[in-house]
Amino acid sequence: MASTVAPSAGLRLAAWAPLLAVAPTVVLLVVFFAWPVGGLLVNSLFDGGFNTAAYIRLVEAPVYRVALGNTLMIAGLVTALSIVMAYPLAYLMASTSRTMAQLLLFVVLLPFWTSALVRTTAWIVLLQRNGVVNDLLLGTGLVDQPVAFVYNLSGVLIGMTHVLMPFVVLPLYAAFRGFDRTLAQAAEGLGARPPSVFLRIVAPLTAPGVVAGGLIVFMNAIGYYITPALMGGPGQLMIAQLISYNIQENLDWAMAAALAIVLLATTLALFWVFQRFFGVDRLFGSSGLGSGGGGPIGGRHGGGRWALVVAGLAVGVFLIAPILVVFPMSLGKSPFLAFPPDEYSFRWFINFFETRKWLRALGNSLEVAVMAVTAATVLGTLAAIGLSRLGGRLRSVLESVVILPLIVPVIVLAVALYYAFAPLGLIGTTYGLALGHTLLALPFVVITVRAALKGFDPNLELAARGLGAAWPTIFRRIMLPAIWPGMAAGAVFAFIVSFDDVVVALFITNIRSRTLPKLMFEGIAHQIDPTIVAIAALLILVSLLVLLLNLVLTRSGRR
Amino acid sequence: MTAQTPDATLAEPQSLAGKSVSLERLSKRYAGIRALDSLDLALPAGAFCTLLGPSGSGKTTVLKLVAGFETPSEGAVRIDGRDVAAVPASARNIGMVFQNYALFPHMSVAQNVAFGLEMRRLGRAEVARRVRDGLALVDLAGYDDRLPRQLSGGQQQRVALARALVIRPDILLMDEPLGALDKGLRQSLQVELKRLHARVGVTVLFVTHDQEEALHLSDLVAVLNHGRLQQVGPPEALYNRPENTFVAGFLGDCTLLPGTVACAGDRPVLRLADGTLLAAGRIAPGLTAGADAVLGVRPESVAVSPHVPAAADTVNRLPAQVDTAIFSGNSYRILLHAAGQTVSATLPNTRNRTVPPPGTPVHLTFTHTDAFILAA
Ligand SMILES: Nc1ncnc2c1ncn2[C@@H]1O[C@H](COP(=O)(O)OP(=O)(O)OP(=O)(O)O)[C@@H](O)[C@H]1O
Ligand SMILES: [Mg+2]
Repeated sequence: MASTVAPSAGLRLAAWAPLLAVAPTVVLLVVFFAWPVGGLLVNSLFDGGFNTAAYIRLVEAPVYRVALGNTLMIAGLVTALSIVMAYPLAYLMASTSRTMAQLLLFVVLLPFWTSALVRTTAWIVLLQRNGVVNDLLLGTGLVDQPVAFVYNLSGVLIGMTHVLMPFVVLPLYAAFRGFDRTLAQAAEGLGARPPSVFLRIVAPLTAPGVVAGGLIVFMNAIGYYITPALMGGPGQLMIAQLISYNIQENLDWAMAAALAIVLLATTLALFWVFQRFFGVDRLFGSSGLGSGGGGPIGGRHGGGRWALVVAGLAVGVFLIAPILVVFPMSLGKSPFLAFPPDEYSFRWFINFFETRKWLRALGNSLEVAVMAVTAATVLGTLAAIGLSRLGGRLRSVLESVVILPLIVPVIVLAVALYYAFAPLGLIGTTYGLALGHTLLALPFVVITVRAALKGFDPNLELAARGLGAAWPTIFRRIMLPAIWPGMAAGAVFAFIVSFDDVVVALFITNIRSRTLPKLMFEGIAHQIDPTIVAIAALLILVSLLVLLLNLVLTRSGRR
Repeated sequence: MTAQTPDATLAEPQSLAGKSVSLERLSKRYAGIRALDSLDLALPAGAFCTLLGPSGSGKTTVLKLVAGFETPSEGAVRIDGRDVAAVPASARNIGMVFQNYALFPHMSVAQNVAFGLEMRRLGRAEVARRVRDGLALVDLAGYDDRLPRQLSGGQQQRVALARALVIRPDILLMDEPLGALDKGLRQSLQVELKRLHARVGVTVLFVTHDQEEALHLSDLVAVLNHGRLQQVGPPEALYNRPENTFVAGFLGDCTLLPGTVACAGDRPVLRLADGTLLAAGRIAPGLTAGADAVLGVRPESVAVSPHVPAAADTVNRLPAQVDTAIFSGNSYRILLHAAGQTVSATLPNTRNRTVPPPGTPVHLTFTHTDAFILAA
């Protein structure tokens, strides 16, 4: 019976194939992340023999104690602000007409898809001493001294809340859409006035979404580097900045390693909590691009509702204003930023395309992005297919491992890469950076392809095999058409991740291989010149394009 | 229902006498849809009024306007004569049982029932006592700690009922509160509702699809269709003297025979297409001789006999042929062909009743006072 031999051989191969598919990704993560993190741990504990001096200093030295306190306080405040501000906006989104809701969703998503660096740039332009807001305030005579919005706590809070708030708005919006408004009516009918309706009915029922979003915000906030570095003052030093300082200026590896380990441990603990209560799927279940069912909530148009509407609109303006202000400002003629500009010209855009250092940085960015996107898309798709064929514990363990680069603070990943690359001579090369970006981007590809695979009917594959198709044919003819939107969406994410990254580039690149965001970062830290604002405008246009592309892809993926 | 009179506290004097409700030219539009069109309805204090109508006719909309969950597009809701446009729902002291129950999913049964009492800032002991009595009333004693999702549909409905009752509302709005219950429980709760209503004196506005339920419970029935009031009155009046074909057909069975008015006035007569003349006891106002109209007669008014009945000029006679007989327990529904139309008749299922087989030629008779002529 020759026919029974072939399937069993096929089965044996099939049992190994999923592991083989996941292997490259796991190997990359072990070699360039797990191993160097282990190295850091060793480094932090053995400084000429075993000692915990670094950790003791962490607790005892005032700088570090203050920085730890700052980090927790700022992350807590940002989380609280995000939640408080997300409520009226999400409520408004869920209770207005469809068109208005779409518009507001766009107002949330455009900044969400714009790089943190660009958004930080925009905020500084708006808020600095001679910025737009101070001009307005002075002009209307509301104040007679410029208000110090940036380079202090308020700068950090504004910048970080702006960057992280969408992580709460999106799940909260979903929660409000699923909210049965007769429950609020029932409570009202039983005598509850609006504050009680909110506290006793709305808040508990939307809490899971808020807690999930809040945890993501907090996890992100404690490892944040760019915004506090650019918008904070000396009083807002956070852990990530101290890690960078210890490596790049102080050359104290033991201290940097200890800080990174503490940050990593905290983040992983929070992630564990998150996974315990919400599951990893939740992390990306709310990309916000879906359009679920359910009618608008809200009914009687009382005074309370109008207050909520005004608050929601104000939050919407907060989200979109810095993005919008960049455009007119980038079109000014004068070398001094002004809003609105006295004269318009494309001068700074032309300047960007005519300056060697900018062009070279752009070239580096694109080169790195192409390499990273290709590698991440291929490896991530393989890993996703492999994961979907594994079962039980092994799958959930590997899934968590593959998601890791998304969870750990980028600064920790950057330090780990630096540590791993130094002996390999990869520092300063575009290949090294591309490798780092591949790691950063892999989880996005895995998640999007996994989502696409969920819609893929495994019976199709069996049917194709029954018809005598070989694996390559099955992949090309049956599976690829089903998952390509997921792959494409993953590639788009990968591009964004690579093209926007500052932190890894800060550690890995040198003056020759530096990327566009790194060069911008250096410029902003020094003085924002109009060319940077022009680049910010260009990058926003790229985000807009990507957002639209992603909308199209998720639509076609859902079909 | 185990009636250990647990509802004694619900009937305590402070909530005696409900309030009157009057709806004046009440309209509601939802983005162009006329959900309710110029409704006039007056409920005396303490009345039990049922809204009856097909799905989408605006019944829930009426309740929401009275409760204050929606604002009228036009017209007014008056409670005890006072326009309540400016009174928020939370201050109207109205109990509502929602069509989908609207139990708070994150609160236990007891917490759900206690919610309205807590909003009224009652003392803890008082809350506990009323929750206990309220749950006993709906036969759910001992279910305190369950969550709504751990209850059956009927149990959820009863929790919703208890939650609305314990606040001792002036007006009780119920949106198909017995819809998900089986027949036995439904009937015992109907009795319970009726008793409670008699005792507490609350004004009830009740919504149902079930015409029998409407007839059993109500002092007043209002029939709605397409957001418009068709007729309002005591159940007997609606059943016996429907004012239009919609009410005649919606409330009970009714045979409607089309024709033209041969004679209006005190002794109205309708001419069928084949020329047969049928006399009726009433004619809808405004119909004149020659107008297109229908003659309506209830199945229980139609007698079927194998012989030509004795002549009496107040009795309508029609030769007919049996089409089908449908057994429905206490009676048979017989469909017959007569004068080119289908007529239905009800024969009580008494002991030695024989049902004529299909095809049998028979004679139909009905008294003219049992028939009415309505606009087509
Ligand atoms: N919030 C709303 N937005 C738009 N249209 C609505 C809304 N609520 C009700 N309608 C429409 O108003 C009309 C009346 O609805 P209503 O809920 O009062 O019907 P109903 O008589 O209670 O029906 P049912 O017996 O099915 O519950 C329907 O056509 C319905 O589609
Ligand atoms: Mg209804």
